Amino acid sequence: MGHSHAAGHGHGHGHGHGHGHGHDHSHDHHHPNTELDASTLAALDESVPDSDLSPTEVSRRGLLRSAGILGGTAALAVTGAQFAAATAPKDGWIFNHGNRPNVWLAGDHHIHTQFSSDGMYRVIDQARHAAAYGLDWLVITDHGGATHARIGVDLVNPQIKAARSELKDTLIFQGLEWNIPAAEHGTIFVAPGSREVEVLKQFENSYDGSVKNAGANTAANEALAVSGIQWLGQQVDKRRVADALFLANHPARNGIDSPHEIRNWRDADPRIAIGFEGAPGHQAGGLPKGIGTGGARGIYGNSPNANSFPAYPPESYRTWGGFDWMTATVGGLWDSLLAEGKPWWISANSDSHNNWNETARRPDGSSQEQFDRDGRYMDPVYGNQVLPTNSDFWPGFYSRTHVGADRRDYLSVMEGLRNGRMWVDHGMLAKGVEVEVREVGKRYGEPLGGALVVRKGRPVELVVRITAQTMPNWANFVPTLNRVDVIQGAVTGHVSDRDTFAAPKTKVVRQWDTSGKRGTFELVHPLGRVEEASYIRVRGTDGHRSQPGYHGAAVDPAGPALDVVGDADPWVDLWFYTNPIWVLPK
Amino acid sequence: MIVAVDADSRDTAEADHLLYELLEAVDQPVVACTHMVHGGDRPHVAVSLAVAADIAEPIRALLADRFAGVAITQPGASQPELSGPSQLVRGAYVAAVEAALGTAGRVVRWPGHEQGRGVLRAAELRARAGIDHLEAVGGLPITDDALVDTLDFLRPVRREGQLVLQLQPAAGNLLIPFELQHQQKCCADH
Repeated sequence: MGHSHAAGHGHGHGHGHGHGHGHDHSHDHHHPNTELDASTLAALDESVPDSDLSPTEVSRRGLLRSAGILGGTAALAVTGAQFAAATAPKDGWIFNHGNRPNVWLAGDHHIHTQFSSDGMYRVIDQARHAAAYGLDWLVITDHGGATHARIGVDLVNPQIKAARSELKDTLIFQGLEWNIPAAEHGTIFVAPGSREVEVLKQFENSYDGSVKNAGANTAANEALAVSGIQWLGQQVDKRRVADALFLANHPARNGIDSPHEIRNWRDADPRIAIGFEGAPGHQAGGLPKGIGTGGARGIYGNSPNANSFPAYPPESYRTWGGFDWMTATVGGLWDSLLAEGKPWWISANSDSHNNWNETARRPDGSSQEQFDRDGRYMDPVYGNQVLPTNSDFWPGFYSRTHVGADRRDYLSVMEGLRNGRMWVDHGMLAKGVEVEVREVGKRYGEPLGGALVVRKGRPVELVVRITAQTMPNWANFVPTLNRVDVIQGAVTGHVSDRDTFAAPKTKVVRQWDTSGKRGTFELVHPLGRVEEASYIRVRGTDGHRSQPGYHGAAVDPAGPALDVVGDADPWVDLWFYTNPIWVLPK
Repeated sequence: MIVAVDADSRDTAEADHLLYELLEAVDQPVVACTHMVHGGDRPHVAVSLAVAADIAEPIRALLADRFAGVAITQPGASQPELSGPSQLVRGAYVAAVEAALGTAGRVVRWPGHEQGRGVLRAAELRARAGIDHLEAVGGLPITDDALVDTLDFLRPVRREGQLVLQLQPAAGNLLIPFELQHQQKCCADH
């Protein structure tokens, strides 16, 4: 299938930031004195006379003088080596003309097994449940780390191959959960082939943040992450593996995936770095005590720490309607990437380690020492008790990533993911969601992830084709889709501050009441005559929990609500989100 | 005076423990804070103590054998007394500046902290514990009679000289602190 997408429908645009344009993004996020703001630094600088200071600065200087702190500023000059991340962004818009998918395949790219130091299940346990709960594809992603890099990455492969031959209709990828240097975790996976283990193992030993002791938020570690993504692209170029992808996991959980890191990953190789989890796993984490663990939905319950990006607000550390704040916020971080014209996609996964209401356990003698020695825990045994305090659901039980593929095979799933031809849902909220943008009067348009290039002034429309759910979900009720929202944003081009995480020209432009609708129905939203570049994305909800969005009711009057720690029942707060479609005037 | 110490604490929990040790040497009202140090080689956490009396000697004694940067400031002095490895002196100095200005910092001890225990009405918590503002994530309004379960662990933040306690909704129509004592460490390999 190759990687012709980079060239396929390259769009010559009029924003003056094409390939030849210099990259002036200054990496001043590594400014040595990021803790202190400009007026404090001015107040401290005794070479600046009082008369040149603003009233605030004068008052600060007074405070500092009376505290006896002035005169010590030489201490601030000490910094480590500062350098810009060694990225060479491949600039310009890289858009696809998308094909309409022939088949929708549901999957999950974030699943752990007994080869994770905090996991339990065999590969076949996860794969059989995933298949039974309706998934077509899955990725086994055990944690990167010393033991996994030494033997786990080898030992899991025979289990994966055995599961592939046992479950003929299920596509089972081998991947790993990368400790991204200087950041959170991410899914790395490759197309099956004779070198899948070799490439993953080499990647993990060279670029895993745990293996390389590169977890801290430093410029050198950020650069290592970028190199890792580029290295994966090179393995595809060299045909060691037919394809490879990277998606960041639970990006806002601890505030440690800064906006510039996400942009740097994406720009490192947009063929490989394609998106992040719009909704994290661990969705049972907020079930109230009595039936659950009474913690935070998604296990998003922390507060900022040393490696956190200081500008992220407290709101970003919680899920909203089960979704990560970067995705749930209309006009937020995800939209800021889309508004730049950067394709970047969202997924939804289980992150299954130990599932809610599990009755199995690790056998006696299966300890951390045993894991470190053998590279895996021993097979689970029946535990004679039920564990409602586990935070995870089985793959397919609650979260699904639906990928539009040409065929039911490994490379087609990867290509569908790369093209952003996907939507995600919780609790089987909808049976089918097809979205396209087309010129009025034309029969076909662009599907999810695509870019419709039309002559300026032509009228275009958004068509959302929903198939209402008829089957009960895995909590055994038929969910109802009561509202569908359209979100539109202007494409305003590259941002000079790579730590931007707001898109002020993005907002909810349409809300449809879809309660009571049955079967397959079409919702059409006229987008007017095309004058400016824009993008459109769609979400829907059961309508049970809403609140004005983070940027206010004028931007998002009824967005997902902040999930309450200890009181977030995921089954009564269901959403679907689609990826975007761009509209670009010629 | 302000005594600021950068012992290269990896996270806020480790910095809290350093403060507990230092507080042993202080027998009077104190504002004790942690400060994020993002610049330099590796992000970490420094601490500060602001007190009326001179606590320089006992703190120096406590830190005698520690690998730490220290900034000791005396009111009206022309410059602070700085000691320790240079990369940690930097963090200590940053912490001292933030402590002096009251613009940033996460507050571990302050006059009134001992009153911030149990379940209290919002107005009562503010008045008794000397907290200037209560603020809930997600823009949730807080009425004076809203019930706050302190979980016996409050870590307000300083903002423009004021003490602000961030809260979040919880089960049972309660508000609880946004920062919980037990932070989830992600996964065994971390």
